[in-house]
Amino acid sequence: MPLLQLSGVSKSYGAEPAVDTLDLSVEDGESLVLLGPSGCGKSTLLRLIAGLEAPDSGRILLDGRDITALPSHRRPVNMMFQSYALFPHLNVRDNIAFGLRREGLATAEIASRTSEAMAMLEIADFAARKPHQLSGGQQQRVALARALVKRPRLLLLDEPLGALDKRLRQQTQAELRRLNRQTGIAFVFVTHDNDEAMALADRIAVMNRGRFRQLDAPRRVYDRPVDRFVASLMCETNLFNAAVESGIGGLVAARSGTLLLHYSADADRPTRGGRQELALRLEQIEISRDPPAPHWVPGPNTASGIITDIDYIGDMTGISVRLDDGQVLKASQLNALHEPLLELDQPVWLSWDADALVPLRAEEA
Amino acid sequence: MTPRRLGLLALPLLWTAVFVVVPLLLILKISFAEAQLAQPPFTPLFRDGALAAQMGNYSLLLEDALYLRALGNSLLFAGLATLCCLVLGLAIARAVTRAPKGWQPLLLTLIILPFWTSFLIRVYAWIALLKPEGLINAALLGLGIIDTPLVLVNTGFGVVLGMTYSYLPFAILPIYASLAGQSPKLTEAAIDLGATPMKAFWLVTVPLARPGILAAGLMVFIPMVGEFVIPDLLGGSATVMLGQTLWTEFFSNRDWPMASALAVLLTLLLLVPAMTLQRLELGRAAR
Repeated sequence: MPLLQLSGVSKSYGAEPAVDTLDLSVEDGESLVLLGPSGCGKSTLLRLIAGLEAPDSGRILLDGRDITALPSHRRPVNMMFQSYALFPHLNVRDNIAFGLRREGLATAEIASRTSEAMAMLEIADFAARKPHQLSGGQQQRVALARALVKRPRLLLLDEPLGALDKRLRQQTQAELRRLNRQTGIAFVFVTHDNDEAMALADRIAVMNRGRFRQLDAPRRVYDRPVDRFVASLMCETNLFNAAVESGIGGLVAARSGTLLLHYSADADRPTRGGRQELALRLEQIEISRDPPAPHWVPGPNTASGIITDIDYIGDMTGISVRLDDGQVLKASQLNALHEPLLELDQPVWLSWDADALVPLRAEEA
Repeated sequence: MTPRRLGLLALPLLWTAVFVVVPLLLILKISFAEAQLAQPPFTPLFRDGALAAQMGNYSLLLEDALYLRALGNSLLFAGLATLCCLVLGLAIARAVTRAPKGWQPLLLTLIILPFWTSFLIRVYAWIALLKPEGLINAALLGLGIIDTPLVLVNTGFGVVLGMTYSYLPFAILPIYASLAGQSPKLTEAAIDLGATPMKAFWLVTVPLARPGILAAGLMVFIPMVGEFVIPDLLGGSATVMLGQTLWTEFFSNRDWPMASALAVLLTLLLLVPAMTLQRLELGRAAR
């Protein structure tokens, strides 16, 4: 039995549905990330699970028990709020003990569990400080301790790293993963940052307009995006709207401009005469400074062109290449230590694997 | 301090000096004089080149039960009405902050709306409602809830009710301002951590609204203690407050020195606790 189960859950504000008949299950101990642009309904979904909003329709089950009508303060689910919502009039210790006091536990137990939580998150030194005397990273830890000390069945985290700088964010990502494994508590994150999603998730649910576009392991979402929305959300990508020419076995030939594209596809994909949208990630393209052969003519999944733009970002170099037919392809490669950097107006030859071309589902209206 | 900042401060300083400090000093001076049938109706402070101040007015104030009772009434009724204002003000301010964003300006306007009518007329209207043959008694008699009219007017109850009604907006506004500045996320966090909405209100919302509640309390308590019109219209002989005593001394008895001594006492009485509270609150905020 899954830990949390949502069936047909909807919530709308006015005419626009924020969450549109969603089904979702979360397993015990799992780390699930809800990923999407702002306004996609991910925060509303989190608030529905927390009980801070009531769904218009649908049911929410926790451990098989229907909690749809259970008020928030009685749900064994806790939330770490975006910008933390620490109580400014209470010190760190009292902030963390707040939830335990509401459970009517013995004073000694409250004290020991509070100390334990502060030790786990290494904030015991600040126990007597007020939130405004803490740095952003310290506040984040207090917020986490305040939620975890309740030993919830499920921890909800609304953009938990949004207020931290990049270095601290990466450090905290690793720590959140550790806490997730160590406590065995299931985590549900909300974020709009795809890197963060991949670093934190066992599974990613990509959301748009109140619906899931794809719910899969991070690697699957990254390597095999189902549609253009998911493909462009996960990373910068080349998109082709190709005319399908022929299909031999699982291999389909299509054309975009003068480019000949060979890709592998399932049987139910459109064949001859149809159009197929394809995604090709930048780092899947092999960049070569010399023609592969002396009298080279472009074949399937190859192209040549001139570099029109270079973006050097340390470990990687991204380039834009104008092909002979005017199409622009983007590509990137890792920088090797002894290789000269690519230059503007330099001619390059590009090639890629048939499996690097990902056929996308046509966008819904 | 730069000359520029001093220049900016000149106007408020001048205003306070001319309209607060100088009149207070004049009152203080008169309070040490004796009443006489002359123009002006009090003895000069210096006579034959010597200081002729005397403390008679103050010692009488502390001895005469009339003044002490007026003082007690003032503190009691103003205190009760302040409490009512704070409780109602908190409830109303919270309701306004919970209303849809678009409604809030309208609701605040409605709270201030009574000020567009004369204060005196509104207090008179209460007499019409409260008197034995008034609307409230008529309704209660008609419904058979009581069989003899309740005595509502000319009582302490009438005074507290009238003052609560009149000063309530002054309590709502500062409380509303401090509630509106609070993130609704804080209440949600409290509820998420297991607090009932009521507990969340008392444990998070109210403590954070302290400065606003304190400001509201001072803002209504201070003028209420010196209130004259409301106890005069809605109260009776048993509910005489300091403001009325002061008025009687000044206009009926033409005893300016006694009236001045009362005024000085009243000012001190309000200034000391108000400043102490404010100092405490500033200290809290700095921590």
